[in-house]
Amino acid sequence: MTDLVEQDWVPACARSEISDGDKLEVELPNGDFVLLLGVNGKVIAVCADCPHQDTPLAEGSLIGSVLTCPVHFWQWDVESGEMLGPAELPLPSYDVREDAGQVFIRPHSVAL
Amino acid sequence: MNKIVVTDRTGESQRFDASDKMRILHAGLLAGVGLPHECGTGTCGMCKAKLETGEIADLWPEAPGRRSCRRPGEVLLCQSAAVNDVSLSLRSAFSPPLRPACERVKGRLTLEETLTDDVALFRCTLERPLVYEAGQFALVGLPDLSGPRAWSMIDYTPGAAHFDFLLRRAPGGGASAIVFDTSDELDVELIAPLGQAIFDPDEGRPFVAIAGGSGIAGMLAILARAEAEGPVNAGTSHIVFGLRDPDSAYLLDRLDAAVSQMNGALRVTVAFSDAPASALLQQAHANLIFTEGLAHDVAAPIVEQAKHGDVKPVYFVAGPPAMVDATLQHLLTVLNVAAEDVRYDRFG
Ligand SMILES: Cc1cc2nc3c(=O)[nH]c(=O)nc-3n(C[C@H](O)[C@H](O)[C@H](O)COP(=O)(O)OP(=O)(O)OC[C@H]3O[C@@H](n4cnc5c(N)ncnc54)[C@H](O)[C@@H]3O)c2cc1C
Ligand code: FES
Ligand code: FES
Repeated sequence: MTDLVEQDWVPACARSEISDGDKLEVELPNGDFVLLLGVNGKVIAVCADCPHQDTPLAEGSLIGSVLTCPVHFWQWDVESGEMLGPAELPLPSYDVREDAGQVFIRPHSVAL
Repeated sequence: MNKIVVTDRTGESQRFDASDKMRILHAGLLAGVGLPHECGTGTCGMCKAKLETGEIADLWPEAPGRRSCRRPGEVLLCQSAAVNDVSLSLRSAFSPPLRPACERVKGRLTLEETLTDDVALFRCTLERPLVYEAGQFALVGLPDLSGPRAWSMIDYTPGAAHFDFLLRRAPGGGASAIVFDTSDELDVELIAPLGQAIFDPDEGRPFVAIAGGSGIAGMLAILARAEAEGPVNAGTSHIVFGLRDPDSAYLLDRLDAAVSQMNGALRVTVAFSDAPASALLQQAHANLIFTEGLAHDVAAPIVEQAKHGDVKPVYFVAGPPAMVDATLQHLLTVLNVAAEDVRYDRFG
C-alpha cells in the first residue's frame, strides 16, 4: 500500500543550506514559492510572497523569529504565527520535516 | 488606443485605455486606477502583473524589478506597453486611487544652480500648475532616453507652474549625462505627482527626516511646508542629513537659515561618514550640528528622544537604497518605531 502522507513530502533543500537567520526561497513542483527560514535551530517554511501586495519576502528581514516585509513592514513571528506591527493578514506556512540532512516540505499551506 | 482590463485578487476589474507608446502602469494611474506601484521606473518590482491575454512589448527586459516576476507570464506594468488589447491579473488588491490625482504635463528643464561637481538645482517650467503634496515626486521623460526618471519636488508651491529638482549625477547614468552635460534647455514630459512619503501639517505631528545625499530633495519640500504652515506647538522636528565629507556638502546655508526661521522647532544634524567638519565650516553654520558617522547611527539617539515626546513624530527616510534599507531596519527593529509612522523613498 502506498503511504499517501509520505508521498506528500517534497524535498526542498539540504539542511546545511540554512543556518539561523538565513532566508532561502525555493520553488515547489506545484509552482508554489516557499521561503525557508532558519529560526532558533529549526527550519520554518512560509509562503514566499507577502499577503499584502505580493512582495517577495526573501527581500525582507529576519531577526530572530520576526519576519518583516520590506515594503509596508507587515511583520509576523514565524515561530508562534502571531501577526505583529501593521500586519492585517496571517502568513501561510508549510509543514517541514528534516530527514537525513534533507529538508522536506508538505506543499499544502495553512494559515500560521 | 488599446483596451486594458486589470483584475485584482478579489476579482474586481478595472478598465482603461493605453496607447502602444504608453507604459501600462502610467496609463492606468493617469486614468485614476489604483495600480500597485512604488518607483514607477522599473526598480522596485511592486507593479508586477500576469499577462492573461493579448500582447505587450517589454520596454526594459533588464529592469531590476523583474526579479519579483518569478511566475510564468509575469511582467512589470511600468516597463510594459500594450501591443493590442490586453487583460492582466494582479496577485494583490488594487490600491486606493492617487490623491491628488496624477496628470501628464509638458515642461522645460533648465539648470538653476550648480551646488557641487555632482549636484545641481534644476527648474522645470510646466505648461500649467499641478497640485501636489510635500514629499512627492514626478516621473520625468527626457528626450531620446528610454524610460522616465523619478525626481522629488524640492519646494512646496502647489499653485506655481514649475517644479524645482535637486539632482545628483549618477556615474554613467543616462539622465545624468543629458542633464549635466548639455547646457541647453530640455523639453521634458512629466507624470506627476506620485509618492506616499507625504508630510501633512494637519496631522499636527513633528517629523524626523533622515536623508542620505540627494535624499534631502523631498525633505526640502517637507521643510518648506513646515516653515510655511507649522505644525504649531507639535514639538521639535529633526533633519539628519548624511553626506560623505565636508567637500561634498551642499545646501548647508539653506538648512542653517531654516533652523533660524523655525525658531527652536527644528534641529538639523549633518553627519559626515568619511571626514569631520572643520572648525571653519561649523562657524559658518552655527545653527547646524555637525557630527561624524552614518546617518542611521547618528539618528538613533534623536529617534530615541523624539519617540518619547508628547506627540509621536512621523519618520521620513530617503536616499540610496542601501542607506534607506539600513535606516529602516534600524528604526523598526532596533529602535522599535511603529511601522505606520515611517514613510520612505528608495532612490533607485
Ligand atoms: C521615488 C524616487 C525619487 C527620486 N528622487 C530623486 C531626486 O530628487 N534627485 C535625484 O538625483 N535622484 C532621485 N531619484 C533617483 C533618480 O530616479 C535616478 O535614478 C537618478 O536621477 C539617476 O538617473 P540616471 O538616468 O542618471 O541613471 P541610470 O542609472 O541611467 O538610471 C537610473 C534609473 O533610470 C531607470 N532606467 C535606467 N535605464 C532604463 C531603461 N533602459 N528603460 C527604462 N528605465 C530605465 C531606472 O529606474 C534606473 O534605476 C529618485 C528615485 C526614486 C525612485
Ligand atoms: S507588500 Fe508586504 S507589507 Fe505591503
Ligand atoms: S513601479 Fe514598476 S518596478 Fe517599481
